[in-house]
Amino acid sequence: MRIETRSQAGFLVRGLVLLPAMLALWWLLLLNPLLGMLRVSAQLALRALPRAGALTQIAEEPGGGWAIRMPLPNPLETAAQRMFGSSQARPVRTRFLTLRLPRQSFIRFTMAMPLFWAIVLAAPLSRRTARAMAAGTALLCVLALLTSALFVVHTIHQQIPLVSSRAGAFLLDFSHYLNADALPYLAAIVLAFWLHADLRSQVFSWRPAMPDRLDERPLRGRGEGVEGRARKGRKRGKASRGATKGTAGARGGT
Amino acid sequence: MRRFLAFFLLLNLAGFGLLQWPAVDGVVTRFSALLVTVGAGLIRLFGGRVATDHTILRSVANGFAVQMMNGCNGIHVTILWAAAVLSFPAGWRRKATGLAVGMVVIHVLNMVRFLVLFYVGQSESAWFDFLHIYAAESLMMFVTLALFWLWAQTVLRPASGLNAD
Repeated sequence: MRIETRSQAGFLVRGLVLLPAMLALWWLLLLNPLLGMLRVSAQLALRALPRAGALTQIAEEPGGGWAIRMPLPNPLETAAQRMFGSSQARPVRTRFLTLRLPRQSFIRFTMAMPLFWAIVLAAPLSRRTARAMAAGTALLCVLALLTSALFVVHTIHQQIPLVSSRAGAFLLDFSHYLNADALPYLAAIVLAFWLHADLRSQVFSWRPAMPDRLDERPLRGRGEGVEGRARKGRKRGKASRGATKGTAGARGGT
Repeated sequence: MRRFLAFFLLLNLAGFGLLQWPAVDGVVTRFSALLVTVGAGLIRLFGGRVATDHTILRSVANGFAVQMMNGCNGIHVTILWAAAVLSFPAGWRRKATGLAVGMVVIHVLNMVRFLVLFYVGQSESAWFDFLHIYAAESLMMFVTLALFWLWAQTVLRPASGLNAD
């Protein structure tokens, strides 16, 4: 059996060149503007919270870390008062919470971008590439905001328990774990497949290949022949469907 | 595609959820310690002098040490790989082969990554975090994706077995 590996090898080689380039672009040029945008959008989102006023802000500290000053949610006021205010001679009412978080915490939430860009650009270029790049980058920006919010919620939870039940605490911890360790990579891959139809069709071959790839037309005939044999050889519907739709799968031949 | 994505995400949730289980955590830690032992063995094979302490690898020459934590042992990428292979419409034999071959490739790559990071940390500590957290992880994911494409290509060629005659 001989397997046609030209597409995959090309993808791998292009990706191995593009990934360091995208990582360098992200790290050296885009990271600060991205973190700045994330900080401003997170501050706008925070100010939309109830009881948030002008005092609610996310300031950048000299080391690049973030100082997040936000209103304490109502149900937490008593707990916070008990934890931080009761030891004072004259109890101080706790209304705001300030979290100081290192810059690295938030870099992680933008790191899906270089991987996503490298995957999309390493895939065969087509008219859809630019659209996939733009849509994916926009979605990853939104995702960075949401994942940062989840990170902040979990950080607060470590200081003042937000949920009392064990199941709730487990779910919050698990969400944080996924958020920090899996989502940055998973998001890039899932979005690349979702948004780049050509990459999806090449990898899964569940859709006919691009009509504009004229150089592959002659091979299609061989694919149909293979399909016919596959139908005769095995009467399993799924296998036949795979061969029918899988022009990439039928490419090359043995 | 939707079915694949649904299973893929579900299996990822199950796999990462399993890692939260204390009993599995112990197994994972022992696996990390095994990887550190293998890494140390490879370094000694090429004349390097290192010491190990459970999941910690330490250079005898300068005292630099790295600890193999949960995310560094290739388990996360293995979960993603397993979820992708198991969700893919293929026969169980092909899935089993894909799982086994993929895991070997992933762990060989991860060992290379671990050893490279160990040496980069000693000489270029400023680049260690960047390589460790961002570059090496992204590279692992990208190579795994290319590997998946290669495996999917072999699976999506139902005619390959039929053509063998």
